[in-house]
Amino acid sequence: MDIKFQFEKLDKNKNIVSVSPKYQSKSFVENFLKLLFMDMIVGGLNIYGIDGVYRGMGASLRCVVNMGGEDFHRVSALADDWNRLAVSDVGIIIGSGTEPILITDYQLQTKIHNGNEAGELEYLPCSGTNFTVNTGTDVASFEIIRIFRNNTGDPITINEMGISQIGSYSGYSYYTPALIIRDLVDPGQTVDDGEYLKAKYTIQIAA
Amino acid sequence: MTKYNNKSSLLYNYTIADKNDTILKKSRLKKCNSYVANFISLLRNAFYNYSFAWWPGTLTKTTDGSVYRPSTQNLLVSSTTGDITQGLVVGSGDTAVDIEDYSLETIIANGTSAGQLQYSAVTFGAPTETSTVAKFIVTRTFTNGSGGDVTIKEIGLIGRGNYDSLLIRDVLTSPETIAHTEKITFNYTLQTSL
Repeated sequence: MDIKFQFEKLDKNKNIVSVSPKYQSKSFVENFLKLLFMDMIVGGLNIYGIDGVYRGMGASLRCVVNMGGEDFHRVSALADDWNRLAVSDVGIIIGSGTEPILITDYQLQTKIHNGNEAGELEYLPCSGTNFTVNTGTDVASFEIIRIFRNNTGDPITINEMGISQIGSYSGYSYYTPALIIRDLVDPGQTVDDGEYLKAKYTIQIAA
Repeated sequence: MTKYNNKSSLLYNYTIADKNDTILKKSRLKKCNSYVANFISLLRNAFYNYSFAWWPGTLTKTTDGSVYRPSTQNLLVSSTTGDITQGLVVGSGDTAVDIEDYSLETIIANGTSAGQLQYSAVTFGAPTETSTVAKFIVTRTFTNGSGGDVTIKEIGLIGRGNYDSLLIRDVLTSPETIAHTEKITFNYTLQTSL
């Protein structure tokens, strides 16, 4: 399995300003493997949530939630619990930290929070797209995409990025997200005021 | 999978033992080739956690070749003794792996008749980690009580849920012949590393 990530910068009119090369992702962290294990055997394991608490977690790799926007998958009975999640806790998340990745990482070093205050970026919904199977090249893949907008008045530099799933425990009565991928973004991606940054992870396999 | 400098690896190895569990052969750890399209389809489903019915065009094939839209995650690979419909399975086909493979070419049936092997239950090693690697192992043993030799040329992993779906298929680099009363144990190692 191979993961790459790429960025597009767009100006305030959503015209593409630049497209980065595709970078090799490294890597899935331990949480991913544990959640995959739970999916494959229906077992329960303790994992670290992004809050640093080590707890039993239901098997779920779900990371695509239209947080902050229209979420037609929302179940009304869970609405209160859903609403406890911050948009910057689930899906593709970004930060400014530069510490090397550890297999045991459970959160970004310094997360950039959602908002329009100094040092923040606005998180738009995270989506998945482009599921493809190319029989000619024997490659199958899908993409996870999120767009961030800088409305702070100042440039902001992204040095780390990851994907956080929507965790669950206690019979789905509460959710605590867990980080499943963390990458350093080197060179850092600077988003000027008024610009958008589109981050894309491509997950693929090849025969 | 071997085309990429990836950090998420899938490996397999096996041991062959006689009826007294004396090891006769132990393979090296080999790179798998590979996950098939069903796996990435179901992983996508797991990332979304809802039915592909919401997303037209993303279908998955069951092991009988019929097409479905999974409504559950279908990555479950546990399997009971004698069950060849799920979990780690072996076969005698050696056609090269295709990204769209949805079954082994020729699965070896469970039993003690000619050409058959006795399938144990699938077992799992809990995830372990070092400072750079996290991994877990899926294991199954196949015993030959057929009275003759049985040759294995391919292996695979079938996930179950509302439908059975082949997730992984590998053609062995060299076939392994299991003599009567011998057993072979396969391990799939799924790991991520820095």
